[in-house]
Amino acid sequence: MTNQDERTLLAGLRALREKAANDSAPDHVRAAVLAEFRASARPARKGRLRWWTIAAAAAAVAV
Amino acid sequence: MSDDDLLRCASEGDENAFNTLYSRHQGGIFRFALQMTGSRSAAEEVTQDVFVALIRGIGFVSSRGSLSGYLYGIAHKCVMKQFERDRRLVSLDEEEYPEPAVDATPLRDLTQTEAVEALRNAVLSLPSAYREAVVLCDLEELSYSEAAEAMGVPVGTVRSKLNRGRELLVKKLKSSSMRCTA
Repeated sequence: MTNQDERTLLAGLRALREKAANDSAPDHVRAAVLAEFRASARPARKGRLRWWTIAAAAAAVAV
Repeated sequence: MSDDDLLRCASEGDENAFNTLYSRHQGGIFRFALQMTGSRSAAEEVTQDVFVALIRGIGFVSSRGSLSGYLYGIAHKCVMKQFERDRRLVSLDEEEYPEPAVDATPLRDLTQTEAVEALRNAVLSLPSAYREAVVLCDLEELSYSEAAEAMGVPVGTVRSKLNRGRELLVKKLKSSSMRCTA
């Protein structure tokens, strides 16, 4: 590959990059990912609540 | 806000922080998967799998270097799984890959619309390891070390795969333009 070929190729790859710059995942993918995020966050919140409930109960018993 | 700050907030259940991370990185992951598989539906599936994997490992990510490298690393594994599942997407190994004819004439301009499309097809037809190096370094502009992290190989291997990938692209484009002018 000559230097000129390499320069031409890199210019072409730059043009391809610019042409594809706005390609992105459609909205339904975002919706599915966010649903997964909410589902995974929910048990953690339940877990924290249970911990606080136990701590509060323990404090009540101690008193 | 930095990726690390957003990750910390997201790990505490902050959906807005996670949504910002998603917006920041989904385009690159989607384009990578699209350039690797040539299929929009496969790219959508890979993008979803990458971010679901991020959700499951969110507490462990920030100590691992750049988030981009981490996400592209998961994307690399998802694409390889897609290849295993759908053999039609796997390109030939280099040994089986027909070496295009060598032509001493300079490469024609590749910035015109038609030529850009030919270049996209040429990238898609590269053997997957070379294609991955070209997509990560030349199209997604990752650093060599980020690409190495994503591909799970040393930096030197990324450089050599990238050089070989570029050489193959030039040969392919020259041989296809020879066929067009014949």
